[in-house]
Amino acid sequence: MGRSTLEGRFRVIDVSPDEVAEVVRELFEDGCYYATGMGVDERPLNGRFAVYHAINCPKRGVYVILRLTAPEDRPSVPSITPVLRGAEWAEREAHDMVGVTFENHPNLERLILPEDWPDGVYPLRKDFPYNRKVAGTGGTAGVRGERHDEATMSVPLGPYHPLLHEPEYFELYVREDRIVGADYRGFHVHRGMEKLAESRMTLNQIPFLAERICGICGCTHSAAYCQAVEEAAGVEVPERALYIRSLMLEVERIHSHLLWFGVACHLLGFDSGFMHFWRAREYVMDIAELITGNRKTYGINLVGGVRRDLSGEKIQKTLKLLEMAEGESREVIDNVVGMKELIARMEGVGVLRRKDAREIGVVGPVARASGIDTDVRRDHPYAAYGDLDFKVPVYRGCDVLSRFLVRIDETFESFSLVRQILENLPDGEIINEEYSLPYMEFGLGSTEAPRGEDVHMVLTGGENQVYRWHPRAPTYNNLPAVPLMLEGEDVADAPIIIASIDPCFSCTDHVSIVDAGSGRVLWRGPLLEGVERLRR
Amino acid sequence: MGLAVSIGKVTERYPFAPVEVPDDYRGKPVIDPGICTGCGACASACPPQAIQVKEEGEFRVVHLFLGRCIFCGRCQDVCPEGAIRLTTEFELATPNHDDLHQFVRLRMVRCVRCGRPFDTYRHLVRSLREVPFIEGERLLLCPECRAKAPLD
Repeated sequence: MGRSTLEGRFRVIDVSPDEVAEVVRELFEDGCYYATGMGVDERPLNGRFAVYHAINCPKRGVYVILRLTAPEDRPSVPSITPVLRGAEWAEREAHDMVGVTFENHPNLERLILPEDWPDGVYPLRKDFPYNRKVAGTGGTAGVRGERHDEATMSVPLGPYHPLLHEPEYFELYVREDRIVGADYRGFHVHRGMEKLAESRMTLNQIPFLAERICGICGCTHSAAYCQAVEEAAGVEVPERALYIRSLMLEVERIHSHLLWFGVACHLLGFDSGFMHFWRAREYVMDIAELITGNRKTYGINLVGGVRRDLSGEKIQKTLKLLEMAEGESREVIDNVVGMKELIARMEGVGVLRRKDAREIGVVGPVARASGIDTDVRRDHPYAAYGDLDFKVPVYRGCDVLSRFLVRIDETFESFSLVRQILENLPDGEIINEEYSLPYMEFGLGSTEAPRGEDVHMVLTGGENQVYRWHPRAPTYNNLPAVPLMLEGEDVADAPIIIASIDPCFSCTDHVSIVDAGSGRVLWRGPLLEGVERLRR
Repeated sequence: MGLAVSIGKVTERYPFAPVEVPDDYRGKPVIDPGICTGCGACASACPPQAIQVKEEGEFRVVHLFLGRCIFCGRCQDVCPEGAIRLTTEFELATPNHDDLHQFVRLRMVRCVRCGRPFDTYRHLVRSLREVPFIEGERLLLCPECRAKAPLD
């Protein structure tokens, strides 16, 4: 292995194409999993393209960043997907957006770009202006055959999830009432955020864009971005700011989990539960509004610290609201877990085996419900988590119920964390603005979002900008597991199975088609056929 | 489940009764046209470019468009005069597009040498507090002419 830089949370290692597969295999056997990867157009600097694979090694508390480069005239590196299937999407994304080819990739089809995007146009290359309009080719390139036989029916679920109100498209292959296979096609609302941030925004404007990646857990994205820049620039963040960051991240987790419990009840046909969870959640929204000035978009994080301090009066009010939120959440949860009908709808449903979970690299409550003991807050302490006391719940049921139970335990851990933070809030400054931005320094920030590990990678640029910013939402790692969860289940259970990963489709967003574990890829479902019929 | 009975009615009367928000709620930003100097700090901090500064002849115009605003309050953070602040007002729906714009028009000073308007009167006066070493006629020169003018 070659040069390594920066100690601490991550290590960047330049690997040669010949050794990368072996290194990845060793890391995986050591308990690491694929976190995310990005392609970077580094031609203006060194005439080469680069690929950064971020491998999370929770046992060692470090992210190993494997950096591969390829010359401009032959932008090609070996794929690591055959060794670690969690890398599949990231490699396809880098192929789409930067134009790096991955040799021996099992399925190097388009992921992000629409089918009618012209070949050879790579939007994240530096010579592609951010405001350039690209005309579609009008065709549906890459249309392939379908895989279902006479006895199997395709049931489309989408292009909007009927209950989650988000764009996604699942195609279920159904024999009688049983799902025999499923394909996912999502990524309908890619927003080009990376390009926007790299070309038009300044360092401290990006946290507000990052926050808008997700409509539920935005604070975790702005925190991860700020941490990435702070790592790159070596910014020391005041302790009080770190506590306030943790505070808002936990408030966000509580509101997110309560929201999910409500949605889960709704999907299971128990609307009273939905109403009561959301009622209890209102106290948490009030806490956020009191502390940050808004219910949902907290806007609290900047590089170097936070923007708003907490007065004694606010702390007292927060504690009062917290007591009500906790008491009423407890009451509703006790009611819900006592309902046999509801539990029966979740128990043994939507199973994701531990082995598959490991290989895909699922994160957060989905991983913890499949017996994987992982939590970024404990494994890679950030913000104030190193000082705080909390348990990481792990269940081994591998089903929807386990995911439900993990989230219940986590919610109450978060109530305790908020109280610990408010009781031990250190004095002092809340932001450090005395730092200078180095040029082309790599940084990685990760947080435990309500949905799992959230990773942001940054390469700093000149003139108060970033050269490259790559956010990866937790759902990106969890979605490829859903088709596996669906196989062998009843059609009626599909909505709760899909929802059990607490998916954030828009956060993940690009455009893609994913195989159902059969190795075959579906490019055209009934939806596209319908559109084509209309065109004819 | 008994819960509904013990909790009782929780529906609020809004919009027939007002909803209370905290004093430092991040609502509609408003510029005080009597204080704004047109320095443009808010415009460079604004993530969605909801605030833009343009020059129209004799005037520098600070244009705030609420349709782009994300209510982050960075403008309030960076304004050296305290001229822009976020209010507690949040009911911004309107049938009239004009309600979403605020324009602050500030008269500009012409350079005594080349005649180009180069700064607002108010910002120039304000600058004197920060940079008192610009003296006499030099004060009334645009940055380009000032660079060319000999220091005596």
